[in-house]
Amino acid sequence: MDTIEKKIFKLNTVYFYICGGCNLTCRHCWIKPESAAHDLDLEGVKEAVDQIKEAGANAVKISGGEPFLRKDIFQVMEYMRQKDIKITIETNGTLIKDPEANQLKKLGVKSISVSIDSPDALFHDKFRGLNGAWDAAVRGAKALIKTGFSLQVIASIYHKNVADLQRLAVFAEGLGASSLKLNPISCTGRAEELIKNEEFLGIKELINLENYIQSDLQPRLKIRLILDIPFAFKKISVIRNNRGRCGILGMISILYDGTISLCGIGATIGELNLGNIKADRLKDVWENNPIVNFIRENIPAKLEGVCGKCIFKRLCLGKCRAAAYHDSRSLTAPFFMCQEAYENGLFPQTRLYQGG
Amino acid sequence: MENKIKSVGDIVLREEGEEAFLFDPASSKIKVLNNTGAFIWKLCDGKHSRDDIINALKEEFNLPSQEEAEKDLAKFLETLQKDGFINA
Repeated sequence: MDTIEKKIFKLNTVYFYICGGCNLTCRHCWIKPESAAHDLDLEGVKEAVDQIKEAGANAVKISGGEPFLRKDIFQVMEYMRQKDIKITIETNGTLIKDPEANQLKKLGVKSISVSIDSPDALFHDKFRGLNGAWDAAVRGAKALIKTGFSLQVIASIYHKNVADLQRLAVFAEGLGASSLKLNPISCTGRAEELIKNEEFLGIKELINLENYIQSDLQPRLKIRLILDIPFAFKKISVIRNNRGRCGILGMISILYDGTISLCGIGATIGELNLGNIKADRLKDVWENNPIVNFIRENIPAKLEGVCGKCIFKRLCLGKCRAAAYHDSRSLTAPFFMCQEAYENGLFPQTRLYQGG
Repeated sequence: MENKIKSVGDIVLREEGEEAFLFDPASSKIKVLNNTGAFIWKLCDGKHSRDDIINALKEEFNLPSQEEAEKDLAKFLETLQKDGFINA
């Protein structure tokens, strides 16, 4: 029995929020990075990488804060490469120029995503909290594309930039990006201010946006457009490739200070922290931590509200358990978008299964 | 007598405009269908044989040759069987 469980719940990927600081102060940041003062040093990071291998993972997604603020970021990645770890990176792109892009290519980095929220520099800079951020991000994106990366542009989408989506998509396509991922602003970290001001998009607007993207915008563009909303609101032909699912049953996170957490949410919700690599073994946490085991035992089987009735619950896994926990302090609570849609008669009836 | 085609268990068909899919509650497996697939699926009710389905398809759609239609149907049913949605 033990063997079966370990086989099913193989650790695939570790999200490594490797830097506690950021050179931007994005209005929506769900992590809310403050300072690099408590970052693991290079030896600490190497120890984390050793533990990642020991726990069985072969892939790391490097995020931050802004990972390229670390002076030793290339040494870190070189160490990961030596350990045969596949690397993907999320960055704001502002610190990447041609030399960095070339180095990343040489290190065999699998994929990189860069955040660009608007085709307009002024809008992006205001949103990201730094004059010149857009110029630097676009320069970084161009350097990466020139080096041969299949780049994903990530944009945070809300009331103030949704009307410009077409221009943003055309712009990202013009850059040579392979995909544009649109993240509705999440309700944690600094974004809580945006939520208070009602600047986020409601579920009805998001459903309409998805319909517009799939029926109108996507057919006119080569770049792949991905609006990050639950499968329940996507056409079956769009979701059949299964992308967009949270990897919660096969992932764990390490924060900049060595904290082991479910994901980046651990930076703002302490009770979802599972240990620290300085005192605990990642492998032991992955195999035995009560919160990790609770998720295995209850997701998706015990998902509540509309998530429990959704035909895609095994595929979707309740979208984002961190968001559910943030909203209700329950890991099995329904995802807020889906529940709101259900309560307002907007949840597609064909996606419900009462026997579920 | 020719075998009738029958679905397995409590498979659910969901039709959404021009798209449709099958959902197996036991395994959560999902299979995407087009309109013709959905039409065929509805005839996999234990009351229709392959010949019945071909005849129904002829009435409903502009089919290629009988031979092509039989070949396409055989392929489709084979996929459904392999995915565990119908019995042999």
